Amino acid sequence: MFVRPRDVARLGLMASAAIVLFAFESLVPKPLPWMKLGLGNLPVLVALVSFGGGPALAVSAIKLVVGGLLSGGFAGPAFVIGGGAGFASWLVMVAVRRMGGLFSVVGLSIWGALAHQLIQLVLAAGYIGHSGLFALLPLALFSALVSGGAIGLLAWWTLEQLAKIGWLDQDHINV
Amino acid sequence: MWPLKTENAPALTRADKIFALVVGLSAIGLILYGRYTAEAGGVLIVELAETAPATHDLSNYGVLPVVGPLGVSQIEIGPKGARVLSAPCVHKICMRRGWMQRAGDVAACVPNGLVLRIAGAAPIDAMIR
Repeated sequence: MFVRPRDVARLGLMASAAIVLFAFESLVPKPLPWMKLGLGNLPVLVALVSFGGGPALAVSAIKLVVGGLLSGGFAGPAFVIGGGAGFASWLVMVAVRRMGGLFSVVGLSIWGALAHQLIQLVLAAGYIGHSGLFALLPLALFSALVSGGAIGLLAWWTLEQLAKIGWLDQDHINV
Repeated sequence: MWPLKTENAPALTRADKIFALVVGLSAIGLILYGRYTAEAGGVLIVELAETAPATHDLSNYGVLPVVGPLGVSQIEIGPKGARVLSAPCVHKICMRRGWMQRAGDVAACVPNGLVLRIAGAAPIDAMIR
């Protein structure tokens, strides 16, 4: 497969954007780890819609590794939990995209957020060795809806703007 | 430029709307179910990795040290319920949870492997002081 240098550069920019947004968000105080927007997932979603599953996974992995190094949590429990949740989220979004145009980018984002939240809860409960955390399930669902919806709207807007300035070929964008 | 103008709104599909509605209603349903079935808190259940959950009566005021993998978390039981007084972790999310009173209230400290839950009256054989 021939990969155009232009696409490599753009994916690099998306990975950088993911890292910057991730680092920026970690500076904002949050009441609970579940209650962050997940701005770093915006470039992952944009990469998924504009470049496909593989590139999106690459952006997600780069964000995870560099973000982990930046926050000092590399290879720690939060890193493993976040990585597993991120992978599950990617897997679900790729599967949902296979369904064709059933969901828009907003629906896709909510699916990803939901998978992220649920797997995060499962892994955290597994890590601490008991199931008391599942009492947070309603909060996780609600958080997935809000953060997934917000990131989906932002992604939709971002793709719109990128298409407008000719950054992405219009035929590239297929949810 | 800004997406909130209606002519610029993203074309949400029917599946989008149904899915969002299902997720939202499940969350509300779970919360209502929790509230409906919730009794006034009677006991605090302390779950620590690899140990049997310990139960403490909420009428038994005092400060309770719990030793997890990271160090000591101090749990306070008082007239307002139970809360985490101090924690050895970095983010102190469990402390910010504040007082827990109702059955079903939860505070967790994942770094210290600790989950605190409020339950109604405890079964007698689970009582440990």
